[in-house]
Amino acid sequence: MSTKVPIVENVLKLNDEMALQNREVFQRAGVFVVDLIGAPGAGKTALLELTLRQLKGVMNIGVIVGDPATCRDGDRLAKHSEHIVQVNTGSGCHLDANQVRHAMDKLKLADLDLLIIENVGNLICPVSFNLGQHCKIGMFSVSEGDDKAAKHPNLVVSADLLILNKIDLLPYIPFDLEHFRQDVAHLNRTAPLLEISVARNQATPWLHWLKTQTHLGSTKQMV
Amino acid sequence: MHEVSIAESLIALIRRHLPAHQRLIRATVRIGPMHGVVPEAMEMAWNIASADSGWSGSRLRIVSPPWRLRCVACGRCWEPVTVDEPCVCGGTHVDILGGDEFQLDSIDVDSTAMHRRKKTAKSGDGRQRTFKTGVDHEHQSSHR
Repeated sequence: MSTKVPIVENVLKLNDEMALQNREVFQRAGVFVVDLIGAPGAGKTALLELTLRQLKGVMNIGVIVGDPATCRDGDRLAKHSEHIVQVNTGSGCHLDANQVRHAMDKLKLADLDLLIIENVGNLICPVSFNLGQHCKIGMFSVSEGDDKAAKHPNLVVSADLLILNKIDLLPYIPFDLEHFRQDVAHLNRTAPLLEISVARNQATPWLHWLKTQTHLGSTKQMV
Repeated sequence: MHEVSIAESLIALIRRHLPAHQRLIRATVRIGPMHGVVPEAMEMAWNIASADSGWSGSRLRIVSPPWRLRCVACGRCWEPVTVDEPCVCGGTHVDILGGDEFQLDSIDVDSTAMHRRKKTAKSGDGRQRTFKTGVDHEHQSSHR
């Protein structure tokens, strides 16, 4: 005999529950956490190298960096900070809350002002998995083409901040910047879009955003 | 290939709700186009994950609701073919009303499964994968 049992719960509820626990740990430690999502080659690690260099002495930054294989990104970042944890996901195409839980246990969170989780290079899978972060960041780059925001609506809609990197390549690549901006604004009219060039060391809006957010985060802690 | 992770998460969630000693017949999920789930990949992931959980023969019904947008400028609501479709009024900003669904709606269970399981256990083959498994995929009507 068949019986229907109504449920109506998020498919990833178990991940969400763990993400909530992560969030509570972050709150207690007073660390502001962002989840950086972008395609392979968008410049995520290069942006973090720049960030660690530029904000040295301004704030303590930790990074959890996810890759299917190798410690190359972790090694690059470890030249700039002692608070780096590399996670290898094997065939996994994203980080989940449980992986972050294990990785964050290796960090002294109380020593950090900011924790950046560099997700596995992928514009689709990481978006659905909440990690407990305060902000989700979607990163695109000029060399990927101007249609990538429209083709990945989930990331654009759910992002609190969007970044377009490699704008120094605009003169050399057919990329309609206005079209890209319209695609972003069509789906998300609240998230700022920061246009930067890590290669040219032009990332001031990003550094400013980080300083503002971590300040707001610490203010929230005190209230 | 996040379908594997989704199938595994789904199995864990269903296990939490499955009444004791009852067999899963079918799970119904509602997944909007926002989440980029490919039904064919989901079918393979479900078949493997459900069989590994001892739920051979169970089916996954995927209900795919359409995108539903509301134009910020004129308030018109419509179901576009693709999410980047602009409003006929020329408005360039939209609110997403539908397409981001990602939930387990219900499970159908066989309350007589306990009896069957005992019989199977006697034959010493409790995890055989002889049942037909699969996925039923249906697009929801766009005419509401």
